[in-house]
Amino acid sequence: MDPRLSPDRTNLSPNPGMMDTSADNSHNMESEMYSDNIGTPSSLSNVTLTADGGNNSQDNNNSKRKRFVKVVEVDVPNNLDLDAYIANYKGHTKVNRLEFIADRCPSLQVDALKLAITELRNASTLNIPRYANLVKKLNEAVKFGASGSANVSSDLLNVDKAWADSQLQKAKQQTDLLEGELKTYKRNAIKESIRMGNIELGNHYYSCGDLTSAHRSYARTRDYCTTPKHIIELCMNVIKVSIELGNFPHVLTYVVKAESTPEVQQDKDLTKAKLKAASGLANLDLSKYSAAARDFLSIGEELVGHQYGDVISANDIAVYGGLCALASFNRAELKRLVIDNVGFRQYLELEPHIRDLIQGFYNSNYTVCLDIMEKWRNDYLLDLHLHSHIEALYTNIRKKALVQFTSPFLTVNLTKMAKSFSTTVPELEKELVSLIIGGQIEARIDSQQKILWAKQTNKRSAIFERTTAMGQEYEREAKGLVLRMQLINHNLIVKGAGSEKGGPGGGGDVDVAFEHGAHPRGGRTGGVPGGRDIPMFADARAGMSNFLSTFARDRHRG
Amino acid sequence: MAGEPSFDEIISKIQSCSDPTSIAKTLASFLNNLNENVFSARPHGQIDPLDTLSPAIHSFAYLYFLVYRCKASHGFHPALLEKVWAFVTTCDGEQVRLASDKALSFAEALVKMATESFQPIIAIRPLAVFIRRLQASPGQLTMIHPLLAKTCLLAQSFKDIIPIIDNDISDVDPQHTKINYKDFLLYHYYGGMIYAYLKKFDRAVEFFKLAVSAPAEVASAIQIEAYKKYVLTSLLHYGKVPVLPKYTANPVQRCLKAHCGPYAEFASAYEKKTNNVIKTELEKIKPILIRDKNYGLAKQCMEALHRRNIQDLTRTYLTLSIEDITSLIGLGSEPEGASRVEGIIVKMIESGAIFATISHEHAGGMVSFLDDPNQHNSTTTTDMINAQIQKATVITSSLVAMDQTISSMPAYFNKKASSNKPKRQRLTSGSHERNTHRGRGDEGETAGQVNPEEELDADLKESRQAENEQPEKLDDLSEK
Repeated sequence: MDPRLSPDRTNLSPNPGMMDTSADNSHNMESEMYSDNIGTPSSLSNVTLTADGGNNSQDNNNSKRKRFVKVVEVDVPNNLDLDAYIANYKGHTKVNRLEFIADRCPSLQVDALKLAITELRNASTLNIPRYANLVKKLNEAVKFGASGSANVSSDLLNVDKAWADSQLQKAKQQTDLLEGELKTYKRNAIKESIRMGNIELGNHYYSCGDLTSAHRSYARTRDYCTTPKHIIELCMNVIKVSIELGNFPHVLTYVVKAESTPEVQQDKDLTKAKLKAASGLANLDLSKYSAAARDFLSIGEELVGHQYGDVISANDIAVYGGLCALASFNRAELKRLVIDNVGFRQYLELEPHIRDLIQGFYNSNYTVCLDIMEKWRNDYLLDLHLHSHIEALYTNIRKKALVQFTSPFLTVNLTKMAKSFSTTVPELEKELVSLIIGGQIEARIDSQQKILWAKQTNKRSAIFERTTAMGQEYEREAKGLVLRMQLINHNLIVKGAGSEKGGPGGGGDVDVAFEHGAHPRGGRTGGVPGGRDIPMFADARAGMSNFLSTFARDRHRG
Repeated sequence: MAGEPSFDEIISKIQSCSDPTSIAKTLASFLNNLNENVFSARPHGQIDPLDTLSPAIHSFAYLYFLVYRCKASHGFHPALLEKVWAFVTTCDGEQVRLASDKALSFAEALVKMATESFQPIIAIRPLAVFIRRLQASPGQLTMIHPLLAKTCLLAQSFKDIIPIIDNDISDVDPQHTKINYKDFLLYHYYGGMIYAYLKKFDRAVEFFKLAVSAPAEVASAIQIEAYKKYVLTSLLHYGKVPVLPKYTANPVQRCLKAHCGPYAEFASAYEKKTNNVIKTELEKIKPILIRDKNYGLAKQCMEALHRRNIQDLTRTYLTLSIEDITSLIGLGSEPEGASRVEGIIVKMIESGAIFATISHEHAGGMVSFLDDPNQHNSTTTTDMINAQIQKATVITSSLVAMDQTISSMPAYFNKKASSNKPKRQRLTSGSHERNTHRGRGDEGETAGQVNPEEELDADLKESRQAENEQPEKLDDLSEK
């Protein structure tokens, strides 16, 4: 049972008393959690709420990251060295990433869970529900005999109850203490103290895994910020929590807010770099690849040593930035912003295959590019942020490669082209057809000889055709308008049976007197006197003036 | 008037009035008060009034006699038809217009006569000529128009009506022609059907559009039927349903939504261009189409779809085997698909819709698509452009004239003044808006005045520029 995929997406408001009780029995807790996942909120005891609090925030987290419908299971990653990979991260994201890998990759499941549990123990986490959940997952994995389950030491399999209890106790005490302090500060109305108190409480909630409460506490400090430095601090905190919550639009707002704050001398560049990384992540999540690429590329050299490891590693910056750039930049931009970018080169050194990919793409060596992309596909599917975008990014890159491949040639041999894109001719033909229809390639296919011919458009003919069509359209619209004016002028208006006799109200919605029988024209004398046609004149005139001006405008634009 | 006037008195009275004013003043009331028998009876020993009177000089009275004669006649009499023909070819339009109700009953009687003898075609030519006589201007709509269109549809003979419907209606004058909105709607509905029958679908779409977008307070059943046909014909011609003009009356639009759901679904399926989807959708609404007698049009839509898809292929392919075309346009699963496709392609090449050659050198046949050979460098193009510029100028000047007439109307000024009152501004923000439109409209007037010529000239210039640019472009390509 994977809580991430549970259908229960109800957004329980965080329970203020969530840390009040301790989990007396881990088994009990597990079963309760299970029941919660299949949706029996009525039976929730206080204990389950404890478990639920932690769990729910994760659930919540996932419901916001929508693209979870299809879970891709990855059998074996090709290049991933789990230990080396995860060593670049710290804090929550480390455990999040490990859990993500465990959920998706059966062959790494046990290892990832082991690492995650050890990490939680080592960091002496206060997020006990999460710990219990991971242990449960590990137990399940071992039960189903996942690979590597033989050498799982028993102390990882069992919930260390004493430790867990003490941690929960600690968490509760800390909560009480911090809340009490905050109350005192508020009574004394010292701004700085209140701000600090809120931040401390937020930090505490954050380490307990209660992200919503943490977010609330951090956000509350806004009213007590007095210096630009405080504002930056607030923004960074909120960004951190929002990224973990998957609330990326929120991230963008706070990035803008932080960037518009007057400069802070002390590690200015680092803050800037972090903000860029965060907004890059947000744009990536919102599928704005071009913006994401620009963000990642402008980070500078500040994060090479994984300084932002609680969110993103330097390797990630290279991968995300590289792929987004390839998927959205044209050749010139690629050269200017990526290849000639000194700062970004340092990141690329960490991921040499991305460097090779970009170079290969720029040098039109598409076979190499596609090989590299295929080889690393599985790895990227295991990335917390990248996995749902891999398909879109790869398709974009492939399309751009196709377009770039054909652009310099007058004729292209499809067989050769298919070889360099490692595909078959019919498949390639299909891809090309979709690109031609989409207007990205100006060419036509000779399917007999399997040759792609660049299209020579006759601009002169095109303009003549457009002119004619435009003229006809103008004539038609204008004539229709004049006729309509006359109809209105002469009161030739479709009316119900009732209103024709003078009074409104009678007559159904549809005038069913359809057959053209005798003409009922007794005593109709055309132009009806009175005020009712006056507004019509005005309407008609406004309509006509409007028509003339919009037509003139449209033509100029078109 | 004491007693019935004698026949000779009537004749002499008629003969004494031959100018329109005296007819309108005296003769009309005099004839209207007469007993019907006077006109229909054919007294023995006396000369036939139709022989006494001249259809050209005494058209007004002649019409009275003719109407009752036609009404009384059952079936078709060559002698009477001769009279009718003499009348419609020579009658004085101005006089006839004074008796437009009689003109209509004359036309109806004529149609009735023709239908009774099972030869509706007889009525068509006299009516077509009669319309010409009756119209004050070539674009004027008369009461006879819808009747003629309907008769033509029934007789399936369109030779005589084509010149009439090709002339767009530009003048409606109920005061003189006594038409009402139904005439307008029916004429355009029938006209659209005629064009659809003749496969001139662009005109058909125009006609149906005019019917649907006519000003309305409630929707008319004619408009709804016209909309159904509008959907199908625009699918046929454009492959999609163009949006109705903004001024289409709201009640009509609401009503269309309620009554034409299946058609809208069919249209949205059609716009996706996939054969199978459209087919299932067509099967689904087949009973409705048959009920509305639109199934034939829908079937033609399917044919047009293949044509459209083939036309799309010309943009992406230079050569393609017939087999591939068949599968690409979604006929692969059908028996005889390939030979059908070949037939379609041959027809398209013949009609000039695509430019291609078919070669049977290889098994199954190979189609090579060519470019449009029309390079737009002939005098025909220039003539066409000039003609269009002229048309556009005429229309624009008439638009501007109308605009000026309306803007100088007292009613319009009152309206404008009232909408300018600051007190009402908030409440009637709509009319305020209208006022700002008017402000812009003034600029639009001048812009509109010079618009078409300048625009087209600009386009021409552009095209000339493109012409100049082209050699450079080619150089670029060859360099690469």
